[in-house]
Amino acid sequence: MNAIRNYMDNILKAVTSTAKGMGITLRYWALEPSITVEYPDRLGKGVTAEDLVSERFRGFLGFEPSVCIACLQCQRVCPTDCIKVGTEKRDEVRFITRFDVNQAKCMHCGLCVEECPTEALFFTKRYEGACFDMEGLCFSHVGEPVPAAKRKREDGGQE
Amino acid sequence: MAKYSSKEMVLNMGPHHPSTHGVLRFILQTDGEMMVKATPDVGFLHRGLEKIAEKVPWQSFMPYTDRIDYLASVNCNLGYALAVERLAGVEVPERAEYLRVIAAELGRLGSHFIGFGALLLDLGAVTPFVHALRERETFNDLMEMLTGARLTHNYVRIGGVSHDLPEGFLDKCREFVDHLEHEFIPEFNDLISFNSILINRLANVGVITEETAREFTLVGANLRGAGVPFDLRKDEPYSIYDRFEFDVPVGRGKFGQRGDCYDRYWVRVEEVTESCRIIRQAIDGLPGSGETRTRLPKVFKVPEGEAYVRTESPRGELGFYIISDGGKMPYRLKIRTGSFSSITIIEHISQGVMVADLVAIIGSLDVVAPEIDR
Amino acid sequence: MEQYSAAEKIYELFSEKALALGIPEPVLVIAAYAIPCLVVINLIQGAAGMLTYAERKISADIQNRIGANRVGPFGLIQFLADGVKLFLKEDIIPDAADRKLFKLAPYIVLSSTVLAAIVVPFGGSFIVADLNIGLIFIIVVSSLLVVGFLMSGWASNNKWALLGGIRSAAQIISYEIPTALSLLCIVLITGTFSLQETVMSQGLWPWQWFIFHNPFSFVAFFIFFVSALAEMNRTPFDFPEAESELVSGYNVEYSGMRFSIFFIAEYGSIFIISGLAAAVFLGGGNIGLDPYESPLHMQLLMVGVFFAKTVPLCLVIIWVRWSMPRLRIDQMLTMCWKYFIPIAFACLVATAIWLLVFNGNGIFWRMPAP
Repeated sequence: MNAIRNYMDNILKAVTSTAKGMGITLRYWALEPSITVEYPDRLGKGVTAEDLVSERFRGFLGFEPSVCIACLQCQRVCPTDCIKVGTEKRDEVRFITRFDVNQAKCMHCGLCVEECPTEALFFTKRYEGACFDMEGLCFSHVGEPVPAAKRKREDGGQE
Repeated sequence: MAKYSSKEMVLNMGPHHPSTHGVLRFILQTDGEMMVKATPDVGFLHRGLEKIAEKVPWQSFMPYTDRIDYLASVNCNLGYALAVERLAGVEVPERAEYLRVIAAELGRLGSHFIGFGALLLDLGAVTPFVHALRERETFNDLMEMLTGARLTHNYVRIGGVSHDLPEGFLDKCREFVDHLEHEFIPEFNDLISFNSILINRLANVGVITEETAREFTLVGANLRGAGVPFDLRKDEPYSIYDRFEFDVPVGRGKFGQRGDCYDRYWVRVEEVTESCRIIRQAIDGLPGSGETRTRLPKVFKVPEGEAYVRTESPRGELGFYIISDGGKMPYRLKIRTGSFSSITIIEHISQGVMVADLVAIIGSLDVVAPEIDR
Repeated sequence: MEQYSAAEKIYELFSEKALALGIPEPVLVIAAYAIPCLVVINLIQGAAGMLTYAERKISADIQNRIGANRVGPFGLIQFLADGVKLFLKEDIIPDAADRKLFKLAPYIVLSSTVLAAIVVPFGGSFIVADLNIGLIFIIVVSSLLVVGFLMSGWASNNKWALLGGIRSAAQIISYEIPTALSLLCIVLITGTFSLQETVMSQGLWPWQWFIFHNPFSFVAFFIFFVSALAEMNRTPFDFPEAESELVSGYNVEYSGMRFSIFFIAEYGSIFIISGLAAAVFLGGGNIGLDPYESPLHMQLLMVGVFFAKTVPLCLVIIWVRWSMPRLRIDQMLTMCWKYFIPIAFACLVATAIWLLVFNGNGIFWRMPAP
């Protein structure tokens, strides 16, 4: 008797659990709307890929030379050595001669941005960087040498 | 009549097989469908993180810890931060502790979605996997709001966390947790957990007894699935976990023997609910305002000594053993991960099962390849 | 009743005119046989294409996604784009493969599907050949599939493919039995193997269908449907191509057009099996008129009725796939030998007893007067 009950029980369980699962999928099939976004070209009117990300998004690094004091903290803290800063002293004024960011090496950890005392280094929301050559991801943020901004304090941070 | 010798067939499963999560390889000896032996071959994802740690400053190693277990990076951040803080004696502000717990428990949710989702995908159930991923997407969005990244969050810092809460985060977080506990998990259970095909596939397969689990130093959900109620958050509370009330789900042999694949699966599903409880309590207990980070000196040095801190990551005990010689960088860093001990047991419990069962066993152990190899 | 064949009908229709135009007789005969063949092959391909589209869309709907929507309106001609892509792909034959068998296998698989289509009544007089052994024929040709799968698994010289081939052999051969037994229940009622006659002895209304003939034919329908899922290698029985276990099973080494032939055969057989279920259990295209004597517009209506029954069945098959996990091979065989075959046998015997007791009448269905 027990075997027969087991047998019938198995059939019943299989049928009911299957029906339950299929009921849920039917509800999704018929009722639930899709939640995916048609990236990249059908986001909606006036919406760009950069609008999809949040305020704090860690995209490519941006650089504002006018407030940089050339303290080199970013270069020091970078785990992957993707930031290269060059400075030069001309007539008692420090010039930033180069500020290169190799985005191909960057792991977007955000340590440099946290270290930056003047917010010269910041994250943009740009994240689409596909290109055919690795060189396309190496950005030189300083062309002509620009004078470094004045520090608030005159001590610390030697190059 | 010619004599035919019967030989076992040697099959290479992986490293690019769809159900070896990440880059894993198993050398299978099979007799038709039956498995004689499955030998895991690890090391494809070795990146030398422990060596890298000796070459970068204490703070700068934090983004690398994201890469130990990319499915739950905050939990790895937390382990490393706690280890360094213990050695350096850094105090962490109250608010930061709560933020750490919220982020870490969210990370556990996100990791378990992939954990049991991928198991179900391996068993041929695609829809539950996508539904689990849909919930992980909300988790990703929340973490993006909080930390700015979707996968490698790099949120915890030595002495605090990187950012305070963004506006509206707590409401969304509470909504997410409520949705999970009251809508997603019951529906998910109806859709797949109690499906008799799934029960047949998982129950009584890959049974790990309590003794075997201890012998192979299993940790985390795999150990609890074998019936050992051991959870570091409960038994050796770190951070502020002693302030929260939660249960430790243990495998009870729900549909078969204790310690089978279904128990491990079910422990993970239940842990989602428990994490939801912890997050809700953490949101309620969060201090209104305050510092989120202790300022460290510009050149951060850790006094000479050694420390071992173990935390409960989604894949079990995650231990960081650090030795400092008083310099700017670790002298030596050793990471002990849960996936590594999980993968050692596969050879033991895969004898005599079928190829399809091996897939279920790998999935139910929730092995993540980068965590094995570091 | 006389056997009906579309080719003969075409020959009769056009022979006088064509011979008057001076077309030689052999050409006419070949044309008369080629036309229905081409129609069926294209029908299967079209059905397979639309089913792949339906599969994408339904799976997307179930999973909160959008699905194919780029090629054509609502992505309707996505399958053409897929076909073109597969056609342009490099056709790779592994060095160690058995080249002849490797090339032959896809055609055997496809031919089994197309052959099965011959006896399926699409409503009205639209049937390629109304064989008086129709049901037996369909069961026989659908087991040709095993040969194709085993051949492709063996010829690929790949262990995963071989495992897939062996699995499919075990699976299809065992599920032949419940399929055939559940069809036999209906054969008992009608007393004929001809599909067109089976359809004609049902009616337009649901209570005239054989699924509601007696409780056992109701069970037989579900047994037939589930074991047909197994014969088609659909989830939850998709072992031969279990993606996460055997990578892709028997077709793992195939690429390009050869791979797509496997695909067309798989989706084509979904259509054929649904059509068979509709014809045998659900009344097919019967609207209560004689299919051979009715005017053309009524015959087209019958085709419409047939498709209105077949397409939902196809959708159900797709729906099942996206709700179920996969069984294990031994559980699948257990299910077949311990559950399906005994139940199917019980249904067969019970149907026979029912017919004996009630003089061949069903609950609503009445035996036509001889």
